[in-house]
Amino acid sequence: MSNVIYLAARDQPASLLLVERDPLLRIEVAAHLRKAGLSVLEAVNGEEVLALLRAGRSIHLVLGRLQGEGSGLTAAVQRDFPQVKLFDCSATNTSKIPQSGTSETRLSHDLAALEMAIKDMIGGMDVSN
Amino acid sequence: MVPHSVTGETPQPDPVVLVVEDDVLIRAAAAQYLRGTGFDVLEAVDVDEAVTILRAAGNVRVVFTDVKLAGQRTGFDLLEIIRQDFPHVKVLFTSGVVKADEVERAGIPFVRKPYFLFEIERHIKSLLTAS
Repeated sequence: MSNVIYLAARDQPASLLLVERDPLLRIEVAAHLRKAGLSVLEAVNGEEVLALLRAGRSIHLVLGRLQGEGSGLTAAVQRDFPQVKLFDCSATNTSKIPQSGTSETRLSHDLAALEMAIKDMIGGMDVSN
Repeated sequence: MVPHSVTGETPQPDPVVLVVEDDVLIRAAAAQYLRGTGFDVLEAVDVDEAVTILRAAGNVRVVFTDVKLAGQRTGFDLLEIIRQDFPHVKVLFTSGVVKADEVERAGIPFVRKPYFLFEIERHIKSLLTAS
């Protein structure tokens, strides 16, 4: 049943996939990134991330508090979809976003910095909406 | 289309549609398609998320929801909350298992799964026109 609907949307452009369990935070970050011209898919948890990847959606980068989804998610993506980049905004990850604070502020406090870091990471890939 | 800057009209914001669906493949496809047709689309996975978003966003005009959702509560529970707390919000139901007359008894338009994406666009536009 899903396939009929899915096939109709299969030609959509490549995307970023934002995973976030807090719906308001997810909406805020996704809206900012779309406004910045990026094509963004949303997932509420790691299971949904893997479902979208396994369904063959064209996804360049998975973004979110990945450590909160458990090591299984990052391991599965790295093993089964090595072409997909991972962008971890977890509070304990200091490699991408320089701001300090809780994981929530790390993901949403400075959306412009987040946008810049993502654009820097995806380089010349076309993920425009 | 004539740009608003030429006509002098104030640009209208895109209508906001909330898609409530626990199957991520369906939700993502529907949301992405509707965004491509000019709607501002928010996504929720269950009734709790939908209500949180409705309370926070304040500008949702249509809720497109599956009847069967993850967790205890269904689209009918969401409909009750919307009728009570957000009476201006229009609802469009979908399901692959619930019978159409069960839904239509509640006075709510219904799209049976599997559906074509253009069908939901047409239904939502019709709801917006009616309002």
